[in-house]
Amino acid sequence: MNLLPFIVSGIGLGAVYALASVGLVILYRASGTLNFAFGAFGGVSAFLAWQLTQEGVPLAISSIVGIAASTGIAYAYGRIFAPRLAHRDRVVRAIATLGLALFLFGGMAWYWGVGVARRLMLPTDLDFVVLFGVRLTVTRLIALGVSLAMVVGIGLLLTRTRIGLGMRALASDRHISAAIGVRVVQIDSIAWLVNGLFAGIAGILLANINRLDPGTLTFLVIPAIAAAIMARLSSLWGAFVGGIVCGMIEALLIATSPEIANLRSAGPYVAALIFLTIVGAGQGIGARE
Amino acid sequence: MKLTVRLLAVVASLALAGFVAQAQAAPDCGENTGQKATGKPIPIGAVTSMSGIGSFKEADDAARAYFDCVNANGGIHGRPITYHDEDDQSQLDVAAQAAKKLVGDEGVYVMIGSTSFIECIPNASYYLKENVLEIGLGIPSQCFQSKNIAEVNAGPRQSGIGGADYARRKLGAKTLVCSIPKFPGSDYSCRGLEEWGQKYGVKVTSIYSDPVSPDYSSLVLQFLATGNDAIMIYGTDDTGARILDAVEQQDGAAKMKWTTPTSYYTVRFPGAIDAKYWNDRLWVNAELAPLDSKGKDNQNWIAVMDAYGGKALRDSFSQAGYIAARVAVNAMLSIKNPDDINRNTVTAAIQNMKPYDTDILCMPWYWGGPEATEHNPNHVTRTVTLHDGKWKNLEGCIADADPGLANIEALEKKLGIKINDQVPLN
Repeated sequence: MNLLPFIVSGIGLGAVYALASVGLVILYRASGTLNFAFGAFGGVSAFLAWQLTQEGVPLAISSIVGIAASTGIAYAYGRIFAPRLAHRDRVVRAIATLGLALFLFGGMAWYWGVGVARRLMLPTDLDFVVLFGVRLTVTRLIALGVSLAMVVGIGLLLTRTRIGLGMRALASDRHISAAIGVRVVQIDSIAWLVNGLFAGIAGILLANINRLDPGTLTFLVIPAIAAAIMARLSSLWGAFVGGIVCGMIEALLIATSPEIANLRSAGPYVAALIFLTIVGAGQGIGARE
Repeated sequence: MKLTVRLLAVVASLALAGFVAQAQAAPDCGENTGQKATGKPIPIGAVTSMSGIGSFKEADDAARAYFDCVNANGGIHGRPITYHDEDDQSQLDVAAQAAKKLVGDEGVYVMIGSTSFIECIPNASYYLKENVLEIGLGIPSQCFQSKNIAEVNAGPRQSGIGGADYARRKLGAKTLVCSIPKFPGSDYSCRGLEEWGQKYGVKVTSIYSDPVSPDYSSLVLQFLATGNDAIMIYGTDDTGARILDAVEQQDGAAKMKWTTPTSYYTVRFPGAIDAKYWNDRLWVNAELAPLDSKGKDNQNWIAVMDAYGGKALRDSFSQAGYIAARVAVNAMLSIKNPDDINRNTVTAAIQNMKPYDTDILCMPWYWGGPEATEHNPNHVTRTVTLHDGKWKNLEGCIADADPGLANIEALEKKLGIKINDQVPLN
């Protein structure tokens, strides 16, 4: 079987994983919290945008409202709940975001239902480029572009601005950061706000590329964790490349035996396990970044 | 005096108009007494997939609506029905626990409306042991080859064969892909298509997909790489819509003939895909009558759902849940003394029921007597397509060409059950 089409298809899937894995690493770099609710934030954004388009509101306005909602929820969490958990262990903070993810998932499932056929169509769905006989839609290329923009934008924010310096200090050690005058709550809130903004944009793209379904969007971060772990949760470029690699692995496994093809969704996790075993615990994609 | 007469005439006309409107809308439920049932409750259960691989709650919702209507109209000789449905989460162990809770702990008399990917697998032998019957909608072989289970749906095997056979007869398909997500019991459907293909000279290639993977594009590339003439894509309308999006992105409709089972035949599906691209290019098997059919029983289903169904989705599963509930109520009403209604008498009443003739199905629904060891009373299906963003009937009732139906067809011949197509093509 010709594998080139599946590699191209894998890049399209990789764009989905890259969006989510970069989103995970962003907040981890900025505040030291692994945010399991990234997908759920995106879900709220996508569902609101879809609901408004159903009411006849133009897509651009609907999308802005959806993104504003996810940004608002993330900011509210960063302002109200995150400071109260700031002194707790990283695992506790991560599990708290899982609670938030499940709460938002429950709300979406209750209001919009699960397993319901619906479509969030974007104007870029009908345009495409052809690579090795496979059509790659412009929406997927935009997803790749947004992932890259997130990497570059956050990279610049973290390295070139005072807020970024504060974020890095917070992620490194909250107590010392507070002692030397870093405005912990403000910096933390900004980190959450930026995370909610990216989640909102990513959610609309993911809902279009994949499915507009509460469970799918909420838990799409799980395979993306494999990509983020490949990057040791620290390298934004590593998370991007890891996402693309995970997508390609999952796509290529379909061209193997039927037994393996049935289980290809496990591919990213197995790849992350093998990668970390071979490369070593202290290394990762982009570890020198 | 004239004014009084006119007023009376107007009032009488309004009252008559209101009465007519009410009469048109009033559903036909059970004994139709208009009196609320207050006696000892009759417990009925269902084990349904409401989460996991997908959600199929529509049949439960319709069964519940019909039972509510019956309860508001005298119940079963004065006894109201209490309905309990449990989510099996598309998991075998959860399905087994749910059945034990309903049958063992709550003592339900019969299972009605259960709609699950896997529920029949762990529970078929348990229902036999407990002398409980189940009428619902099923997927794996145990739903159709067990003594105590008879489904209203034709099942994915029959629906798939119906759609594939349309592709052979009308679209000239000589090679066909059978695509289905891999889960316990799903091979029953594609094996059916392979047996059908052997009999009718169609080469069938089965592709089992990872139900968790969100990578639909690669799956579609795999379909197209076979170079086959046609494909039957199993799945829910939700995931199916996303697969068809990926097909559209690769312009796959120009390369293969795309057929689906009845699970795609829902009200919401045309709005969930690019109906313009798929115009007259998607062939869908329909196990039940069109949702807007003017048939008497279908109109009653609509009336029941309007009066008691709330916001529950109106689709083929809903129609089937209504039929399951109606069959159970008819059987229970045949037990003259309400105090005699219990699990054993309900089981016997259903096993010995008269075939239920309904315009929602292509032939009367029947159990086949206490000796029947397998059940597939619905195996005559239709074909519809998407035209101008709406469903359009292409072909009326055609018996599914499944070589595995020999015993069923022999029983039907003995019982005198024949195809009874009551819905004209539009």
